[in-house]
Amino acid sequence: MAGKTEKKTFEKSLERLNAIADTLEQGNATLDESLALYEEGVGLLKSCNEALENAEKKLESIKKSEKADA
Amino acid sequence: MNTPVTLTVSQLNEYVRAVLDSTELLSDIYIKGEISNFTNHYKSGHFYFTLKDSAANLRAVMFRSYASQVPFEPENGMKITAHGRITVYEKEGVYQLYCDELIPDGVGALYLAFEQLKNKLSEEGLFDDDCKKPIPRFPQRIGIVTSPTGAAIADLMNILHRRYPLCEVELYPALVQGEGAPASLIDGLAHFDGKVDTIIIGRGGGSMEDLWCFNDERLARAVFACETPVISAVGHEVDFTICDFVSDLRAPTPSAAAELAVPDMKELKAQIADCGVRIRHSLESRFARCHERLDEIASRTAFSKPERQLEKKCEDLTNAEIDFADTWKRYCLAKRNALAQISSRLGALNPLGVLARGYAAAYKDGKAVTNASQLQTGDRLRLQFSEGQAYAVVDEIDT
Repeated sequence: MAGKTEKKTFEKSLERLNAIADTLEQGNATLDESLALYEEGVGLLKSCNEALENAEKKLESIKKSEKADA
Repeated sequence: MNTPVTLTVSQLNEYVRAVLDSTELLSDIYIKGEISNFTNHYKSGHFYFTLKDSAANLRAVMFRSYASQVPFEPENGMKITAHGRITVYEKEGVYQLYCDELIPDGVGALYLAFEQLKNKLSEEGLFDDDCKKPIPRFPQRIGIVTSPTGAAIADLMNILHRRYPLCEVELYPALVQGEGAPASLIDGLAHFDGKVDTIIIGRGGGSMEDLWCFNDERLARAVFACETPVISAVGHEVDFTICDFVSDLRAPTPSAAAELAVPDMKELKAQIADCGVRIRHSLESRFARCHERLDEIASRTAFSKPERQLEKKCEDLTNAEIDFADTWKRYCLAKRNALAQISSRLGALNPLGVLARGYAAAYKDGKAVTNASQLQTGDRLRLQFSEGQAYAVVDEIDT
């Protein structure tokens, strides 16, 4: 599962998250399915947040090195 | 001996006119002098002026048909050679020059030649805007054709280097005045044509004679034939030479040429920095939007209150339990009712119940007696009461 979410782009992860929320909110999934979906969703949220943080850190370091050059 | 003649004024004037008209020398003559009192009669189109030298004046008139051919503007002070014939204006008793051609002397002659060449080349299309090539915005190599001494090259080098040091600049030292100048300039163009991105040709300010080589026809054609774009920078702001007209761009001064030929590095740096800022801002707002979307999703109840999923399942279970209990209850009730119904039916059928109401059951030989005709007098009957029994003998029968 972890490997799958790494490959997914940020945008695809958001799509999947919305789909999971839709399914859970409709309430038609079985108990086991609901648990599995919830787990997947939490995992995706975590990886998306990490990806965003990494991007921001990278931007900061580029800014810093640019200032250093100038 | 001749006695003096007496003539009227008209006769005299007529006579003088005839004399002058028949004088060959005066019928086809060039007069050199300076124009003064010049009047261009707007309505008639005739020129009226005075030709003078240091000691004397001569009235002149040029009728419209000739005046309109003069390719320049005659001015007071202009030194010219006028062609025409001398005749007498009888009415006023003056002789004057009827002029049919004005030829400028010195600078004037140059100017005339300039106008004529300009018209000729213009008609050939050498000055057409369509033929002008755009000046490259970021030239890597610039060739300059000018004098190695003088202010022009110093200014050019200075400004080019300050504005855009990226660009290589090469000088072809050329003659910029005198007879050898056109050929030298043409060599310079040939030296650079096709090998640099932009050529600048020109020189600093000077008199019309000084700049004259830039009006050379061969030079003009060489500039026109150049594949590399040519910027012409000759003399001062107000001077225009043929080279200026035919080149792809005219600069009013050599300094201006440098500014037109290359961009300003400071401006470029500012533009790049500006791009950097815009890119950063757009990235930052992109990130912000991603955050928003992520937060939006995370706040959906499926993720923020996941226990609701379980709560729902619990509720389903509870409802199922209640349903099940209800159904079971109803089922038992139904069965109980059925049982009760049968019980009461059965109860109703209990023979002992009848006996309790005072009836007795009569048995003969162990069988129940239902009809009196079954009996004979003297039969022995057993009588069953609600409680206990007795024996009786039939006494009488009534059917």
